[in-house]
Amino acid sequence: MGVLKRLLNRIRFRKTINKDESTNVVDGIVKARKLYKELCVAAHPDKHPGKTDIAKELVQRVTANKHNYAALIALKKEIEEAL
Amino acid sequence: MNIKTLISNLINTLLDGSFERVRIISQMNTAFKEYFTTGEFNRLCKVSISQGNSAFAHEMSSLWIRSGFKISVENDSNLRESEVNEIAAYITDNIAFVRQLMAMGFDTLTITGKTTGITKCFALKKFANLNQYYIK
Repeated sequence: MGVLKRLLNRIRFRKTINKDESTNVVDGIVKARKLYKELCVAAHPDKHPGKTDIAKELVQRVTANKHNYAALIALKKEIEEAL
Repeated sequence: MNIKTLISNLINTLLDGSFERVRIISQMNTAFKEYFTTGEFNRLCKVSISQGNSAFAHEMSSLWIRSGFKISVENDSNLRESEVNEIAAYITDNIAFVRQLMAMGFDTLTITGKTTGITKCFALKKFANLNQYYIK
Protein backbone atom coordinates (compact mmCIF):
# COMPACT_ATOMS: atom_id res chain seq x y z
CA MET A 1 0.00 0.00 0.00
CA GLY A 2 2.85 2.35 0.95
CA VAL A 3 4.60 1.64 -2.34
CA LEU A 4 1.44 2.40 -4.32
CA LYS A 5 0.92 5.67 -2.43
CA ARG A 6 4.55 6.63 -3.06
CA LEU A 7 4.17 5.85 -6.78
CA LEU A 8 0.98 7.93 -7.03
CA ASN A 9 2.61 10.85 -5.21
CA ARG A 10 5.55 10.63 -7.58
CA ILE A 11 3.29 10.69 -10.65
CA ARG A 12 1.39 13.69 -9.25
CA PHE A 13 4.63 15.49 -8.47
CA ARG A 14 5.92 14.88 -11.99
CA LYS A 15 2.78 16.47 -13.41
CA THR A 16 3.68 19.72 -11.60
CA ILE A 17 6.87 19.90 -13.64
CA ASN A 18 5.79 21.00 -17.07
CA LYS A 19 8.92 22.72 -18.29
CA ASP A 20 11.90 20.81 -19.62
CA GLU A 21 15.07 22.56 -18.48
CA SER A 22 17.60 20.10 -19.95
CA THR A 23 18.21 22.14 -23.12
CA ASN A 24 18.65 25.31 -21.06
CA VAL A 25 21.26 23.55 -18.90
CA VAL A 26 23.30 22.38 -21.90
CA ASP A 27 23.03 25.81 -23.55
CA GLY A 28 24.16 27.32 -20.25
CA ILE A 29 27.22 25.10 -19.93
CA VAL A 30 28.23 25.97 -23.49
CA LYS A 31 27.22 29.62 -23.97
CA ALA A 32 26.28 31.32 -20.68
CA ARG A 33 29.79 32.30 -19.61
CA LYS A 34 30.40 34.36 -22.76
CA LEU A 35 26.96 35.95 -22.64
CA TYR A 36 27.34 36.78 -18.95
CA LYS A 37 30.59 38.68 -19.60
CA GLU A 38 29.01 40.44 -22.58
CA LEU A 39 26.01 41.58 -20.51
CA CYS A 40 28.16 42.72 -17.58
CA VAL A 41 30.02 45.01 -19.96
CA ALA A 42 26.86 46.19 -21.75
CA ALA A 43 25.01 47.06 -18.53
CA HIS A 44 27.95 48.44 -16.57
CA PRO A 45 26.82 51.57 -14.63
CA ASP A 46 29.93 53.52 -15.76
CA LYS A 47 28.76 53.20 -19.36
CA HIS A 48 25.38 54.72 -18.55
CA PRO A 49 25.92 57.81 -16.38
CA GLY A 50 22.33 58.96 -16.78
CA LYS A 51 20.79 55.63 -15.85
CA THR A 52 23.05 54.41 -13.06
CA ASP A 53 20.29 52.98 -10.87
CA ILE A 54 18.70 50.94 -13.67
CA ALA A 55 22.13 49.74 -14.79
CA LYS A 56 23.07 48.68 -11.24
CA GLU A 57 19.85 46.74 -10.84
CA LEU A 58 20.32 45.01 -14.20
CA VAL A 59 23.94 44.05 -13.40
CA GLN A 60 22.74 42.55 -10.10
CA ARG A 61 20.11 40.49 -11.93
CA VAL A 62 22.65 39.38 -14.55
CA THR A 63 25.00 38.23 -11.78
CA ALA A 64 22.19 36.39 -9.98
CA ASN A 65 21.34 34.52 -13.19
CA LYS A 66 24.88 33.94 -14.45
CA HIS A 67 24.29 30.18 -14.76
CA ASN A 68 20.85 30.40 -16.36
CA TYR A 69 21.12 30.89 -20.12
CA ALA A 70 17.39 31.43 -20.76
CA ALA A 71 17.26 34.13 -18.08
CA LEU A 72 20.36 35.81 -19.54
CA ILE A 73 18.76 35.91 -23.00
CA ALA A 74 15.68 37.58 -21.48
CA LEU A 75 17.93 40.06 -19.65
CA LYS A 76 19.79 40.84 -22.86
CA LYS A 77 16.55 42.05 -24.44
CA GLU A 78 15.73 44.05 -21.32
CA ILE A 79 19.17 45.70 -21.32
CA GLU A 80 18.83 46.61 -25.01
CA GLU A 81 15.46 48.23 -24.32
CA ALA A 82 16.23 49.92 -21.00
CA LEU A 83 19.72 51.26 -21.64
CA MET B 1 24.10 3.35 -29.85
CA ASN B 2 26.18 0.51 -28.48
CA ILE B 3 24.80 -2.66 -26.90
CA LYS B 4 25.61 -1.49 -23.34
CA THR B 5 23.62 1.73 -23.79
CA LEU B 6 20.76 -0.18 -25.41
CA ILE B 7 20.51 -2.63 -22.49
CA SER B 8 20.83 0.19 -19.97
CA ASN B 9 18.05 2.18 -21.68
CA LEU B 10 15.87 -0.92 -21.83
CA ILE B 11 16.31 -1.57 -18.09
CA ASN B 12 15.58 2.06 -17.27
CA THR B 13 12.44 2.09 -19.34
CA LEU B 14 11.16 -1.18 -17.88
CA LEU B 15 12.01 -0.35 -14.27
CA ASP B 16 10.81 3.22 -14.25
CA GLY B 17 7.78 2.76 -16.45
CA SER B 18 8.65 5.99 -18.25
CA PHE B 19 10.71 7.12 -21.19
CA GLU B 20 11.39 10.45 -19.51
CA ARG B 21 14.90 9.67 -18.24
CA VAL B 22 15.97 8.16 -21.55
CA ARG B 23 14.49 11.08 -23.49
CA ILE B 24 16.21 13.76 -21.42
CA ILE B 25 19.56 11.98 -21.46
CA SER B 26 19.49 11.40 -25.19
CA GLN B 27 18.39 15.03 -25.77
CA MET B 28 21.32 16.33 -23.70
CA ASN B 29 23.80 13.98 -25.36
CA THR B 30 22.67 15.09 -28.81
CA ALA B 31 23.06 18.77 -27.82
CA PHE B 32 26.53 18.23 -26.30
CA LYS B 33 27.65 16.31 -29.39
CA GLU B 34 26.36 19.06 -31.68
CA TYR B 35 28.12 21.83 -29.72
CA PHE B 36 31.35 19.83 -29.73
CA THR B 37 31.27 19.07 -33.45
CA THR B 38 30.45 22.65 -34.38
CA GLY B 39 33.34 23.84 -32.20
CA GLU B 40 31.22 25.91 -29.82
CA PHE B 41 32.36 23.86 -26.82
CA ASN B 42 35.79 22.30 -26.53
CA ARG B 43 34.72 19.49 -24.19
CA LEU B 44 32.66 16.50 -25.25
CA CYS B 45 30.32 15.64 -22.41
CA LYS B 46 28.33 12.47 -22.14
CA VAL B 47 25.32 12.12 -19.86
CA SER B 48 24.40 8.75 -18.41
CA ILE B 49 22.78 7.01 -15.47
CA SER B 50 25.14 5.74 -12.81
CA GLN B 51 24.92 4.37 -9.33
CA GLY B 52 24.04 6.95 -6.73
CA ASN B 53 25.15 7.52 -3.19
CA SER B 54 22.64 6.01 -0.77
CA ALA B 55 23.46 8.76 1.73
CA PHE B 56 22.00 11.29 -0.72
CA ALA B 57 18.65 9.46 -1.07
CA HIS B 58 15.36 11.35 -0.81
CA GLU B 59 11.73 10.26 -0.81
CA MET B 60 11.59 10.00 -4.61
CA SER B 61 14.91 8.25 -5.21
CA SER B 62 15.13 5.24 -7.48
CA LEU B 63 17.13 2.17 -6.56
CA TRP B 64 20.65 3.29 -5.61
CA ILE B 65 22.15 1.43 -8.58
CA ARG B 66 20.40 3.81 -10.95
CA SER B 67 19.88 7.00 -8.99
CA GLY B 68 22.98 8.84 -10.18
CA PHE B 69 22.97 11.44 -12.93
CA LYS B 70 26.45 11.39 -14.41
CA ILE B 71 28.13 13.84 -16.77
CA SER B 72 31.38 12.44 -18.05
CA VAL B 73 33.90 14.66 -19.86
CA GLU B 74 35.20 12.41 -22.65
CA ASN B 75 38.17 14.56 -23.77
CA ASP B 76 39.44 15.45 -20.34
CA SER B 77 43.08 16.36 -20.92
CA ASN B 78 43.99 19.34 -18.72
CA LEU B 79 40.60 19.17 -17.05
CA ARG B 80 40.72 21.29 -13.93
CA GLU B 81 38.67 20.86 -10.79
CA SER B 82 37.33 24.40 -11.27
CA GLU B 83 35.90 23.34 -14.66
CA VAL B 84 34.15 20.40 -13.02
CA ASN B 85 32.74 22.70 -10.35
CA GLU B 86 31.58 25.16 -13.00
CA ILE B 87 29.71 22.47 -14.96
CA ALA B 88 28.08 21.37 -11.70
CA ALA B 89 27.08 24.96 -10.89
CA TYR B 90 25.06 25.24 -14.12
CA ILE B 91 22.97 22.30 -12.91
CA THR B 92 22.75 22.99 -9.19
CA ASP B 93 21.89 26.68 -9.69
CA ASN B 94 18.94 25.71 -11.88
CA ILE B 95 16.44 24.67 -9.21
CA ALA B 96 13.78 23.77 -11.79
CA PHE B 97 16.15 21.27 -13.40
CA VAL B 98 17.22 19.84 -10.02
CA ARG B 99 13.55 19.29 -9.19
CA GLN B 100 13.04 17.69 -12.58
CA LEU B 101 15.93 15.29 -11.90
CA MET B 102 14.65 14.50 -8.41
CA ALA B 103 11.19 13.76 -9.77
CA MET B 104 12.79 11.31 -12.18
CA GLY B 105 14.35 9.44 -9.26
CA PHE B 106 17.87 10.86 -9.34
CA ASP B 107 19.54 11.82 -6.08
CA THR B 108 23.24 12.14 -6.94
CA LEU B 109 24.92 14.39 -9.47
CA THR B 110 28.32 13.12 -10.57
CA ILE B 111 30.68 15.08 -12.80
CA THR B 112 33.74 13.13 -13.85
CA GLY B 113 36.69 13.22 -16.21
CA LYS B 114 36.84 10.01 -18.21
CA THR B 115 40.57 9.34 -17.82
CA THR B 116 41.92 11.87 -15.31
CA GLY B 117 39.79 10.45 -12.50
CA ILE B 118 38.67 13.88 -11.30
CA THR B 119 35.23 13.16 -9.88
CA LYS B 120 32.83 15.27 -7.88
CA CYS B 121 29.54 14.11 -6.40
CA PHE B 122 26.72 16.34 -5.21
CA ALA B 123 23.53 15.58 -3.28
CA LEU B 124 20.62 17.00 -5.28
CA LYS B 125 18.46 17.38 -2.17
CA LYS B 126 20.83 20.06 -0.92
CA PHE B 127 19.89 22.35 -3.80
CA ALA B 128 16.10 21.98 -4.02
CA ASN B 129 13.67 21.51 -1.22
CA LEU B 130 11.32 18.81 -2.40
CA ASN B 131 8.87 19.21 0.51
CA GLN B 132 8.06 22.71 -0.62
CA TYR B 133 6.57 21.35 -3.83
CA TYR B 134 5.32 17.97 -2.68
CA ILE B 135 1.62 17.35 -3.24
CA LYS B 136 -0.04 15.60 -0.29
